[in-house]
Amino acid sequence: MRSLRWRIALAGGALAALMVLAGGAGLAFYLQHTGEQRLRVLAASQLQALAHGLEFEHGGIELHSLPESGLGWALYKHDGSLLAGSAWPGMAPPGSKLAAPAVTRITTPEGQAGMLASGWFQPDEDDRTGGGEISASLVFSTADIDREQTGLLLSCLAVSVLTASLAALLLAAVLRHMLRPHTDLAEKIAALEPQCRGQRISTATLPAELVPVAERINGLCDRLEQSYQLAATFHAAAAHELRNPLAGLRATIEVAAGPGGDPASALATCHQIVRRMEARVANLLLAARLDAGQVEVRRDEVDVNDLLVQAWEAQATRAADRGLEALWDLQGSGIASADPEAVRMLLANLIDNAISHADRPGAVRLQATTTDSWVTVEITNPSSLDGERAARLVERGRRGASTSSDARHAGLGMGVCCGLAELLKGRFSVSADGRELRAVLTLPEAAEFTYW
Amino acid sequence: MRALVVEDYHPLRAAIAQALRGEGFAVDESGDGEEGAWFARGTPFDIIILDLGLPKLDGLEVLRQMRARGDQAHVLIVTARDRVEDRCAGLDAGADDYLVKPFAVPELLSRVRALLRRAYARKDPVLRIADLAIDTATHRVQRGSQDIELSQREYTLLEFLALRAGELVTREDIRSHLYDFRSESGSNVIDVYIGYLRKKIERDDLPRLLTTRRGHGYILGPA
Repeated sequence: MRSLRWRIALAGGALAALMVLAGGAGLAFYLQHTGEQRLRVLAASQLQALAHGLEFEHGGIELHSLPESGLGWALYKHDGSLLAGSAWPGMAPPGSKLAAPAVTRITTPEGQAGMLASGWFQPDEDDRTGGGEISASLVFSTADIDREQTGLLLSCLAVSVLTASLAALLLAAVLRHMLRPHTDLAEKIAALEPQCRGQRISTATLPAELVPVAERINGLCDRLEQSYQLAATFHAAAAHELRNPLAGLRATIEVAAGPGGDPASALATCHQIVRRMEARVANLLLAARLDAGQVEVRRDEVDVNDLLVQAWEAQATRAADRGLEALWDLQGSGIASADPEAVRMLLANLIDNAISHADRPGAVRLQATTTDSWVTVEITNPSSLDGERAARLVERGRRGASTSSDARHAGLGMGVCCGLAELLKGRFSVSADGRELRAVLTLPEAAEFTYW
Repeated sequence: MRALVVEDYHPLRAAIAQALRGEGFAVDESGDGEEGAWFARGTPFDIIILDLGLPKLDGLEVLRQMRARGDQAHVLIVTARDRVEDRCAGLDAGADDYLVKPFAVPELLSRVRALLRRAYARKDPVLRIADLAIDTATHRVQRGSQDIELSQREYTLLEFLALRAGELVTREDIRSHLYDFRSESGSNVIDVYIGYLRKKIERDDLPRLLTTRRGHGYILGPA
């Protein structure tokens, strides 16, 4: 594929050459035509001079002067017979008595180029030719003029070719300069690394036509980099979420298998670890699907109060191990319009988070209210987290970038909660005051619901 | 030997602690950084197993605080962070070793033993005092060619004395290194175990290796 510059140069050069050559050809035609006309006028005037220079005396003709370039001449009587001069086959008198002399190109028997002028005229009274008009024909050489004209034509052609070449060179230089931004942009795009890390194309020096192209590429780079970051975050989260329980599993098994090990107790511990791993893997996959926009939810009537109780019961043993007890406050119908599976996962994450983040024994308050077309779930646990650190828990992939473990057991789960709540047209927030960590989930109430 | 395990993931913490106790360590456990730092401040641990991602106070910060006040305890970082930058950050903060989760418990124990040898400037895993040989890897004890059967507590006490062979070891040293916070360690308990140990390694009129300095402590070495 030829470059754009080469294509424009080829088309422009061809056009310029064509125009210059056409101009040269027109000029040559004009010069030739004008020269021919002037030759004809010259031939006619030469013939007139010949006619005026004739003198008839003593029954003969005396020629006082002949053109310097004359190749031959002839006089004919009105009946066509030669009166004087030397006639060639091509020098016959004109067939009709034209008002003006006839002028034509002729080649002499010796091969010389010339111009033949012939015409009729009335001789003086002392003419003894028998009376009547006579015709005169004159041939003179055009070799010098033709040579000069040919030289002129060749000069025109040479100048045209030279001009066309110069025009092509100039065009190439101008194109090179004008297409520099295009070339620069192409080089910048080619220099972009596959991961586009921080690389963007500056639009400051680009011409207006190329700015949208650069902006589009920058936008694609943004999205690509975001994808890489999401992938890195996912990997970090996956590593963190899975390495701890895997380490716990492996260590528990190896210790149980060693001397003094307690296989029964280890089995129970392993079962507990596996249950939590299942939940974390589900969270990881859900987070990845949320990031990719691949999660679809259905609308159904969901008894949030009932699911909240079930979610707590599933983790009640772990809560008891950590010295936590539940304080219930469920008011209203608690029937939301949402996806039951999504709500189940949301509540499981919230309770898991409340138990994990409770940094001292105490009470976990579980409240649910239904007001103003919204079902609100509020879960509060003892925690020393401050408000700023708590707010960061809902940042998706917080764990991957975190150097502290504030996000432990929460960075991914909280991020998933946030994503799911948005998907369900609800709201989710986390706040803390240094004493308690509060997670609030709000879901739209079912417009009409039925009891079974 | 006295060990501290600072790890917030309870099943893993329990497994590590159990494995260390099986090796004869007195083990204290902590589930967050603040408590771990508190433990480390008040006790001369021989080894600290430290997670990095801890609640309340990050493991690296715990380590920095320890080194800043001149704490010389050997620290083995055990973490899920496996990037080179993380390892460098951990070691540069003053850790003696770094192990990425998940890991094999025998490897953890081997690394712990290696760190303890380093702590007492030993390269050979077999400690030799006169004709007494103590293999710290297998816990096998011999006097001459004769195997000596020791209980876990007796072995731990002997190994501790052997690592400080020729030095006066006080009862307080023994108490702080061989008993964790939950243990009952009255002064007579140590005397009782010293008595058991002496009977086993100095039987049959063998030359004495364990000397008592009344009111001060004990010295293991040729009299």
